[in-house]
Amino acid sequence: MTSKSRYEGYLLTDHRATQLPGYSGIEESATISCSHCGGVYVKRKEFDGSRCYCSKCDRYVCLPCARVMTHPDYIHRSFAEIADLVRSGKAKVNGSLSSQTPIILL
Amino acid sequence: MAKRIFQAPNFTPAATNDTTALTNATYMALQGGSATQLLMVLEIMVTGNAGASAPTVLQWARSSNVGTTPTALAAPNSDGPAHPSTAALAAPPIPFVAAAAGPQRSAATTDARLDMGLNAFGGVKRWVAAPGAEWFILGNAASAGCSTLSSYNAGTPGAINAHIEYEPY
Repeated sequence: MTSKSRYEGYLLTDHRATQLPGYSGIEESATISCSHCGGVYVKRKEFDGSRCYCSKCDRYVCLPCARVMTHPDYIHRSFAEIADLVRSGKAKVNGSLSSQTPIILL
Repeated sequence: MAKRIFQAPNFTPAATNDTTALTNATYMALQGGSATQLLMVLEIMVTGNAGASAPTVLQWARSSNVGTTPTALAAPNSDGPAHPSTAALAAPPIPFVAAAAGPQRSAATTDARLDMGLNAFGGVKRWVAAPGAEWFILGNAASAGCSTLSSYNAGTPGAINAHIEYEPY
């Protein structure tokens, strides 16, 4: 049984040397990578059990990509698929990867 | 391919609005070397150099405008392979801190940003991706083709050092 936590990155904020009120601690957070746009986000508890998940990829997605997924015309493309298309020269990215039509087929 | 490390010591980010050209020597930018290049960012580490409190609202973000005519890196900044026997790349990625027209941080609510903010008065910030969950830069056009480490228009940024570990494909 695999867990999505295997995809979690690590974010460290260390202000122990700052010696200022409000900046004196050390904080560790998990980060997630969106399976659709390739961006990285700090994982917040609202990601757990939310719509920010793609069952086709079995990976977390970010909120903007989750919104796009609800569109009736949505065509599923993971970041890996888009990257393959672009690297092969068959497509190029147009604007944000989280938009409804982020790629143009050439 | 092979992992590379782009680093810049002791520079002071400038608090800059989104969609505004970043000023030379106030940012670190990584841009694809060709329209089909894929860069996989594995780690970003920032350490603060400031001698007094300096809230620095650093963001690792995509660019709505990529840099125009980037200037080649000059010492003490650097970019090189982590493995000494790495072969030269046909299309080297473009790490830069200065350009004829600096890149512009995207303001799109649908573009990813990673908060790397810290107090530069001794603060340390480090992000490490899990295998398979990296930050990707694709091609060399906006917005996916260029990402920057720069300060949002807030706080009073102080001097920092940073490195970005990445792998081109």
